[in-house]
Amino acid sequence: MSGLESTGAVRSTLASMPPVAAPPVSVPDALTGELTLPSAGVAAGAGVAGAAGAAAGAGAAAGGGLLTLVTGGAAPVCDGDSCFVPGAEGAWTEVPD
Amino acid sequence: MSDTVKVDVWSDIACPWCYIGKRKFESGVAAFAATTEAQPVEVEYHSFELSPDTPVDFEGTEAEFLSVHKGMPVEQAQQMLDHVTGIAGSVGLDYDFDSVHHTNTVKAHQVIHLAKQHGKQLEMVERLFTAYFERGEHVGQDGSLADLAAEIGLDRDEVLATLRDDAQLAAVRADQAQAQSFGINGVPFFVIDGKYGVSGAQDPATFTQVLQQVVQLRATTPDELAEAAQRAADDAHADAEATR
Repeated sequence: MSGLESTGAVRSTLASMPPVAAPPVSVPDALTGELTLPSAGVAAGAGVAGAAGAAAGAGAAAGGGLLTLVTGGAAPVCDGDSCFVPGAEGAWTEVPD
Repeated sequence: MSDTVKVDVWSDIACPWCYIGKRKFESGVAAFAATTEAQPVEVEYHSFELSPDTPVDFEGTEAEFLSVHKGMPVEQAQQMLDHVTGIAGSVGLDYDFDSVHHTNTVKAHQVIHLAKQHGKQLEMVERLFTAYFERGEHVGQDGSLADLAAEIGLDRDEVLATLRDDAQLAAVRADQAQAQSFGINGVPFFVIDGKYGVSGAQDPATFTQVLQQVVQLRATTPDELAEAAQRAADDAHADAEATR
C-alpha cells in the first residue's frame, strides 16, 4: 500500500501538552491479540481524553481491545441508518446515511 | 517496529461523515508529515454497511428518502441535508444531495476490495465517494460500478465478473466481522497501529496529535512507562499531602 497522498497541508495548532503518565496496562493488539504497550498513554499524551469507550468494551469482550480516543466536542459518526453528531450540533443531530 | 504508521479505516460509501472524515484525516496526515515525528502513513479501507437493507434503487431525492424513513417533513429533511452540505463545503467537498442515488453499497464494497488487490484501493474509494456525494452517479449497479472502476484503471470485465459472482463478498463480510469484534458501531472509525481507535470525523489536529503520539509511544519502553506512572502516582500523593 502506498503512503497517503497529501491533499493540501493544514498546519495544526497543537496544544503543548506534556505527556501524562498512565498506568502500565497491557492492551491486546486489536488485530493480532498480542499484548502491547499501554494505550492509555496515547490518549493522555495526545491531549485527548482517553477512555475505554464502546469499542474497547465490546472489543474486549470479543477478544480484541481498542482504546477509543474521544475529544471533548465529540465527532460526527454514522451509526446504523442515521448519522449523529453526539452532543455537538445542538438540535441538529441526524442525517440519512 | 515498522517505520510506517498503519491506519485501518472502516467506512461506508453512503456515509456523509466518512467522506468529510476522509478529508479531515488527510489534512491531519499532511500536518503530521511536517512534524518531527513524521513517518509514512499506510491507509487501508475496510467495509462497513450502515444500512444493508437499503434497496439498489430508490426513486426520489435524498430529502424524500429521509422524510419517509424518519417520518419528518421534507422541509426539515432538506434543512438537515443543507447543514451537512455546508460542513462538507468547509473541507472542500461539494455535496449535491439533490442528485444522490440512494442505494445499497455492498457491491461498491466488493469493488473496493477488488481494487485493493490491484493496488488501487485509495483511488477507488475516492472515486466512489465523489460519485455518490458530488456527481450523482449510481454506486449500486453493476454497470455504473464497472464504469467507475474502469476510470481508475481496473478491467471493466473483471469488475462485472466479480460482481456477478459475488467474488469479493467474503472479504466484505470479513471486514464487517472484524468491525463487530472491535465493537465498532459507527463510522468513520480509524484504527492506528492496530491498537488505537479514533471514532468519527475528528478535526485534522486530532488526527495529527494521535499519529504523533503513536510514533512517540513506539520509542517508549514498558519500563519507561512504568517509571512515568510511578512518578505520576508519587506526584499525586505529594499533591494530596500538600493540600491536606
